[in-house]
Amino acid sequence: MILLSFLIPLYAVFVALGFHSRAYKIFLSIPLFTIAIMPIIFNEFGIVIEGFAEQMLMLCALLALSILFLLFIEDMASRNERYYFYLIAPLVLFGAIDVNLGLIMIMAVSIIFVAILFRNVYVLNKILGIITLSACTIILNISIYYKTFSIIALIPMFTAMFYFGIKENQDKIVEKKVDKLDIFGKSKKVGKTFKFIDMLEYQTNSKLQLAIIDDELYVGVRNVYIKIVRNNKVGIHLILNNKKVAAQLVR
Amino acid sequence: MACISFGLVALAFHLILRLKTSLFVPLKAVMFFSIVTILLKIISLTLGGEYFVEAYLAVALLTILLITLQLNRITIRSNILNYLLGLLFVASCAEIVGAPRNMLSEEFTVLPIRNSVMLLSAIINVLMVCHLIRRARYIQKNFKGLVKKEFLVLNILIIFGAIQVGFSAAYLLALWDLYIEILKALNYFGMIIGTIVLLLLCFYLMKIHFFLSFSGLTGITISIGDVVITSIGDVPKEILPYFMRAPYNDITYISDRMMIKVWKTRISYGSEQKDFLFMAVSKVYEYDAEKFLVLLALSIEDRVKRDYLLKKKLLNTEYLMKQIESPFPPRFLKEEFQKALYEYRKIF
Repeated sequence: MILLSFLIPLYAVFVALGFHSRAYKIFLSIPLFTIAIMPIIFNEFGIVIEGFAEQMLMLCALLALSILFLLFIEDMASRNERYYFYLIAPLVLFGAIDVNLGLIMIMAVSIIFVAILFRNVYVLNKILGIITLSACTIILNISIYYKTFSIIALIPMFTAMFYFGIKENQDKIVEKKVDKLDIFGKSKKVGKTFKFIDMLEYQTNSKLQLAIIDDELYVGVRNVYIKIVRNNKVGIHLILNNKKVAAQLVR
Repeated sequence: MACISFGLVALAFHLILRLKTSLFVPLKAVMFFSIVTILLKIISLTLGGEYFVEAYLAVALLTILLITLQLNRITIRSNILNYLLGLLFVASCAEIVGAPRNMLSEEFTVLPIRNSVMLLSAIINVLMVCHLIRRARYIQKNFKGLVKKEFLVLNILIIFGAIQVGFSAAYLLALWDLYIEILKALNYFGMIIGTIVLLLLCFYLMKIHFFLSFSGLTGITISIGDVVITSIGDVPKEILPYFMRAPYNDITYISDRMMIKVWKTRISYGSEQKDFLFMAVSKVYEYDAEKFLVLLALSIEDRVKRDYLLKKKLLNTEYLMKQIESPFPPRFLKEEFQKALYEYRKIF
C-alpha cells in the first residue's frame, strides 16, 4: 500500500493543478494513468494473475505509459523534438520483453521527457523547475528500487507544473487578445495588424500559426489572435519553440 | 566483404558529419548504426555467440528503420508513422529475443516478423522517394538548373529503395527453405551494394548547398512600386497588392499551409523614390528554408542599398518595361540567389 498511498494523492494534486490552469487535456490522462498503474493495484491488493494475462496486462500498462508521454510532449517539445520522441516512446514496451532491458529503455525515455519538461518549467519559474526536476529524480529512483514501471506514469503528470507556470505568467506574456469574430464586427479598437493578418488568412485560405511583423510576434489559436509582449523573452522563447503553447494563453 | 563495407561506411560517416543541415540528422544516425551493425557482424562471424547475433539483427533493423525515418522527415513528416516504426521495432526485437537458437545464424538469419518489417520499410521508402520526385519535378519547372543535383540524390535514393525491396523480398524466400546458399551469398553482396549506395548518397548530399525541393520553396516575386518585375514559380498574386500597401517592412507569415516571407524597402535615386518588395513563398514550413530566405532577403537588401547603378536601373521605366516583358528573371536576382546559396553553406 506504500506505493498506492503515494501515487493516488500526488496524481490528484496534478489533476487539480491542471484544472486550475484550465488545461483540460489533463482529464484525458485519467484512463491512461489508471491502466498504467494497474500492475501496482493488482499487486497491492494481492490479486495474482499469471502467464498470458499477466503479459497482456503489462503490455497494456506500458502502451498506456507511452501514450501518456506522447499526450504531454505535444504541449512542450519543439516540432523536431516531438518528431523524434514519437519514435522512441514505443521503446518503453521493451519492459514487456525483459524487466532489466525495459527499465533501461523506460529510464532513457523518461530522462529525455524530464529534460524537456525541466527546460520549459525552469524558464517560467526557477523554483518550480528545480522542484519538478528533484521530484522526477526521486520517482525514477523509486522505480529502480522497486523494479516497477507503473510509478513512472507520474512523470508525464508533472506537465501540470508547466501549465501552472504558463497560467501564472499569462499576463506578462500576452499583450493583446482579439477574437476573430470581433475584427470586422463590433470593435473599432482592433489594430490594423490584426485586420491585416485576418485578410491574409482569408486570401490564402489558411490558418495563421505564427506571424512576425516588424519584430512583433502574433499567434493564431482557434478563433483568437494573440499579440505577445515584445520584451518578454520567456514568452517569445516558448511560443517560437512550440506554437501549441499559445493554446494555453487564450484560456 | 564485411571489412570493405566497414571502410566504405566509415568514409560515408566522415562525409555526412560535415553536413550541418537539420534535415539530415537521422542520416547521421543511420551511418553511425551502419558502422555498429557491420562491427557486430564481424564480431559475431569471428567470435560467434548468440548475444552478438541478436544485437546484430536488432541494430541492422534499427538502421533500416532510421532510413525510413529520414525519408519521412523530408517528405510527409508524420509522427504517427514514427510511432508505428517504433512499435514494429519492439515487436521485431521481441521476436529476435524469443527465437530459438537454431534459427539464429551468424551468416544469414531470416525471421518472419523482422523480415516482413524490413520489406514494409523498403516499400514505404520507395513510396516516399516517389513523392519526393513528384515534388522535385514541380519545383524543377520553376527553378530548373538549381534542382539538378537534388535529382541525382533522388535517383540514388530510388535505386537504394529498389535494391532494398528486391533484397528484402528475396530474403523472405528463405522462410520456405528456398535458395538458401544463393541468399547467403546475396546477403554479403547486398551489404557491399548498400554501403556503396550510401557512400554515393553522402557524397552527392555534400555537394548540395541548399535543398530546394526538400525545403518546399515554391516561388519568388520582386516588385517595384506597383509593378511586378519578376515572378518565378507559384506565388499567390492576389495578395501582392496587400503587401505593397501594408505599412510593414518585414513580414513572416507562417500558417498551416504555407510560409510567406516579405521584405520591403524604399529605394531612392535623385528625386525619384519607389518601394522595392521581395516576396518568397514556401509550401512547407522548414526552419532551414526560413534561414535561407532571411539570408536571401538580406543579400538583396545589401545589394539594392549598395549598388547605385542597380538603383538607377530599377527606377528607370524603360528597364522596368523590358524586365516585365522578359521571361527571364533579372540578373541581380540570379546573382544574389547564387550568393545566398554559397553563403548559406558557409554560415550554417
